[in-house]
Order: sequence, then structure tokens, then C-alpha cells
Amino acid sequence: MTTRMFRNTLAGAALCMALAPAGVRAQSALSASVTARYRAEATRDAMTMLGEWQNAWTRDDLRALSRLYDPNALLRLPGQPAAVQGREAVEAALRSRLPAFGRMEVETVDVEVGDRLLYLLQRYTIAPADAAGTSALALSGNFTTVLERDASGWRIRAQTFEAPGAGSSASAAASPSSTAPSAGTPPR
Amino acid sequence: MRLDATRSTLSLAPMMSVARSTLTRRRALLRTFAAAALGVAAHAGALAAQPLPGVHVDPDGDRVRYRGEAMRSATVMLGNWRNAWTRDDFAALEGFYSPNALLLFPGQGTPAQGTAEVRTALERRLRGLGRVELQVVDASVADDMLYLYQRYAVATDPGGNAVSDEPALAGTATTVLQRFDGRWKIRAQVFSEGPLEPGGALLRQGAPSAAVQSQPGAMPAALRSLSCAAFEWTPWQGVTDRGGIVVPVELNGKSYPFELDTGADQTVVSSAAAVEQGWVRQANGRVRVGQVRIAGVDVGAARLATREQPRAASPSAPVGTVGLDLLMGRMVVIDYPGQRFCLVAGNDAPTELTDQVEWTPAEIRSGKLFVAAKVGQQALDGLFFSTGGAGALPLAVDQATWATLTGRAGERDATSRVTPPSRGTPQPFVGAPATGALELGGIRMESPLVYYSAAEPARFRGLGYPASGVLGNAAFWDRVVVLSLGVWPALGVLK
Repeated sequence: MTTRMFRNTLAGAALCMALAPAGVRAQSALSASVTARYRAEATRDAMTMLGEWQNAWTRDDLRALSRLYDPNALLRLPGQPAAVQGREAVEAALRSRLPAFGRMEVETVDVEVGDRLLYLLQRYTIAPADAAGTSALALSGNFTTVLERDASGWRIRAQTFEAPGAGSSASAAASPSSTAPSAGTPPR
Repeated sequence: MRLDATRSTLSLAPMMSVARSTLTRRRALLRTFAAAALGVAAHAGALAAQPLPGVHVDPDGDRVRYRGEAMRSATVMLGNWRNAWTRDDFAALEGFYSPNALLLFPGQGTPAQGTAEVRTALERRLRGLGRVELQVVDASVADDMLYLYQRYAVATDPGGNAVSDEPALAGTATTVLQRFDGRWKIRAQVFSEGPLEPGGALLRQGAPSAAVQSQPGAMPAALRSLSCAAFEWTPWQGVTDRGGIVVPVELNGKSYPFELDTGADQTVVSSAAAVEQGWVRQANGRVRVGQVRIAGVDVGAARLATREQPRAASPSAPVGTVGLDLLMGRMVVIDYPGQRFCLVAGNDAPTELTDQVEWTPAEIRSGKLFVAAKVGQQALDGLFFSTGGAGALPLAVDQATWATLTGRAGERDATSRVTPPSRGTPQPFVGAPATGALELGGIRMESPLVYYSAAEPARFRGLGYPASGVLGNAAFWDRVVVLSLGVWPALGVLK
């Protein structure tokens, strides 16, 4: 432990000792402050992780992407009729469908962080794989993500994309057949 | 470790874990906070927390048990939410959502967020829709948040009291619950639309008998031919979501919510409800009601006692108490997991029900249903079954009996302290796990929490009739209980 760490630890303990006689109100205030700090920190960590996820998605980096999902993750991709669950099923779903999706833009609508779970509702726009986002066939809609924290950090525990087209600018590309890779769609 | 200390530890533990996991980047800062948090934990005894009845606490299983209980209380909350949905009770529905809740229905585009928008969205979508059935596909629970992924089906609304199995909407829903002051609220609910066909199967799976207006869970086969009504739990604030039971009772054709209290010897209605109905109080303070129906069963005319009680603040607040007198001569089914209350005429109980019940002989005296039970090696002959008052506790006895059952002397040794809601002075109960198992007929409950009244340590000895304690709802939370209230009284549980 460096001198600075030791000093910080002592400072924390001293802060606590100073507050202890003040009773429950002081404890609650400190607890609230620690909670607020934790939440801000946890949300930043989660956003960093989701940034990695978005980059891996755009790069079609299946290996990096898979690592960001919890072993028990549930996933429903745009155009998928039902969710899949478990590492292998999630990887298979990503492998089969990712090539048809292009770059993704996301906009956070709602977020809530807890001690071990974090929930997000976001709006997405996925460019088609062959049009660099300029085509009218872009998919868009809402999706819900639930992150779960383990010893190694945040992982995606559940991610469900609303069926494209519901309240969005999605088009024919929403159908499973049109989002599946085809002979005429070269991989990026 | 006792639960009152445990609760505080639980809430701080995640922060400690955060401190560990992010040390590499902000080590110095978080060490400061970790040290501060440790200090707070050391003084956590000052923070009051109440335990959950029926949950035996041990140091190793605290978190697992806490989360198990959290999941159960969330299920209860969602059962009540479903009942309110089916009734189109928007005032009650609003109460299940957090102030900044987000709600998104299929095709809605922009989600509704906040109390006013959520209520407007519910009012707009639910009118014209019938009951909703849900089936959990995936779930994860933490100390303060809970995530659920469910299949759902919403039936068409056939109008009147009819029940439809035809799906109007089906698909999947992601629901996030957040804990506020010990109670779960819906923080986010996102419905996605899917094919209708699986929705029909989901609705048929939970198909109710004609009298049932809503179905919180799948109905056991033995109950399918019965006339049932959904009941709702009322919470003991800060203690449990499953405090009391509220059932709908029809008085002269109008439905009122009543608390169910099998430990009460008489049925009571509030003076405000009596005035509203124009009933004239007789010299003995009772009112005569020409027609009483409970769970779709006509129990005829009744003279009900009245009690002074102001007009209920909310339409779902109980206006009275159904006591044992109104249930006599009948068979009563309380399906705790399914939140159903069913009534059968005493001589008309179907064999598919009676054959499936493991019975324990009971006795009715002094207006109560007494059963014999055993805790460890100690026989308890004078226990009466009560679903009201302190009935949310698994077992309440006098202090002397408590000391025998728990091997502890008194309040200082108690591991839990709860204060039931009361119309008079609040009376705390203190509890500790029994050293042995509670055995009652086919029921065995390992080391139940046993309580006594701190204000009246000998309250049962002083009742004026032989009684050793109360057996309450918490002993049966995972069971279907059947009370046979005829000439050969018995208490049974569905096998």
C-alpha cells in the first residue's frame, strides 16, 4: 500500500469516526453519499462497457461481443421471433445475424442502476450492412438491456430488441428473411 | 448474525464489492469510501430493520434467503397488480409503479414515463381489454432491483362478469422492479407484441371458473370446479407484503373489500358502509343484510356487527372483517400461492378436492378453529388458526411457551421485532427461531419464527378460554389450506 492509499484509508476511517457519534442521521447521510457515488461510478462503468459493445458490434467482432454477455444471457435481436438464452445460443444468434446488421447508433431514453443490476431503455438505429447507414432500409426501434455485475464487472444479462417497425422507421428489412444474410449481400 | 444487523450489511456489501472491483482506476478515492462504509457498518446496530416472518436466519444463507423472499414478495406484488389490471382499477394500478416508472406498450413508439403519463397510458390501453396472464421465462434478483422476462397474454373483454380465453394481445414483456422502503414497485415495463396463438394457450392454462375475476397463478386441478375469488394481500409496512388477506364480499349486490380473519368470531362491517347502504342499526348494534355472497357463493342473509370506522380513503381499503361465523357449515379453501379464496357448501365438496387433502382434526370452541400441532417435542394443543391480526406471523404464543420453544429467555434474546398494523396502540411482537420443526398434519416447517407480544407476554393465557397461541398465514404461504367448518371440523392442506 502506498503512502497515499494509506492516508486515504485513514482519512476515510477518521471521517467515519467523526460521524459515528452523530447517530443515525449522519450515518444515513454518509450512506446516501456513498450510494450516490457508487451509482455514478457504476453507471460510468456500464456506459464504458456498452461503448465497447457498440464498437464490437460495428466491427462484427463476434469474439469481443460474446465476452460482454453473461453466460446465462437472454438475447432477442431485431427481427428474431423469440429470445435465445445461454452463451452458446447467444453466440450462435450473433454469428448468424450480425453480418446483416451495419453500424448501430443508440440513444439512451431511461436508465436505472442498482447494487448489482442496471437497466437501460434505448432507441437504436441499425444501418444495413451494405449501405453505411444511408439507406432508407435502416432498422430502428427501442431495446431494453439489463446488465448484471459480477467480480469482473458489468455483463449483459438480458437484451431484447423490440420488433422493428413498432413505432419506428423500420421497413421491409424488419422481416427475419430480409435481415438474414443472403447470397447477394457480401459480408463487410 | 441477526437479521437486524444483516440488513444493513446487505445494503453495504455491494458498495464494498464495488470498491474492490474498481480499485485499479480509482483506488485511492474508493479506499476512502470503503473505509467510511466499514465504519458505518460497524455502527449499523443503530439502524433499525425488521425481519421477515417465517424466514429463519443464519449467517451463511442470509443473502440467498433474502433474495428468495424478495422474489416471493415481488410475485405477490405482481399478483395484486394483475388483479388491479383485470378490475380496470387504475387508482390501484398507479400505486404499483414508481414515480418515474416507464411504460411501453406495443406500437406506442414513445414510452410513457412518470405517474401521470403511465396512468394515462394504462387507461387508454386497458379499456376494452380483459385479464392478463403471465409466465416467467427469465429472472434475476438483486437486493434492490429485480428483472423479469415474461410471456404475456391479454384476453379480450367480453363485458359483464364473463371471462374470455381469446387473446387480444400477446408477446413478451421485460419488467424491472425497484425496491422502495422495502416494497417492490415497477420501474420499467416494456411489452413487445408477438403471435397471438401462444397467448391463447397461456390464457387457457390459467382458465378460471366462472366466479373468478382474475387468476394470479395456475389453478390446481382440485380447485377447478370450485367457486373462487382472487384475494389481495395487504402489507405490513416494512415487514412483509403478505400481511393480511382482503376478499371481495357482495352485500345486497354491491361488492366491498373485507379483511378475512378466521380468528375473529364475528363478521363486522364499518358504520360508514352501513350508513351508505341505508341499513338501520338494531339495538344490539347489528345490521341485517338481506343477501351476502362470498366468492360467488350465496351465504344468505346475515346480521353483521358494526364498528365505528370512517369512510375508507380508497375503494380497495377493507370496510369490514369476515369472521368465522359467516363461513360456518362450509368448506373454505385458501390458495396462498395462487391468491384465491374459494367457498363450497359443506355437503357439496367435490371428491377431487377432499381426496387430495391431508386432514388434521380441528375443534371449534369460543368462536375459533383450534388445531393440535407440535414444535420439536413440545405439543401445542390450543393453537387457533387466524388469517387476521397477528395471523401474518407463522406462530405467536405466550412468552413462557416461547422460551420453551426457542430456548431463549426474553426480548433481549429475540432475533426479530415486528409491529403489526393496529387500530389501537401498536403492539410489537418479538420473535426467534424455534429449536425444532413445526409439525401439523402433513405440514412440516423447519425452525419457524415464533413470536410473543412484548406488551402482553401472557395474552393467550388471559383470553378467558384455553388457548396457547395463534397459527398464522406465514406457516402456509406455499400451501393450499382447506378448512372444513362442518360438524367434524378439520384443517387440511392440499397434497
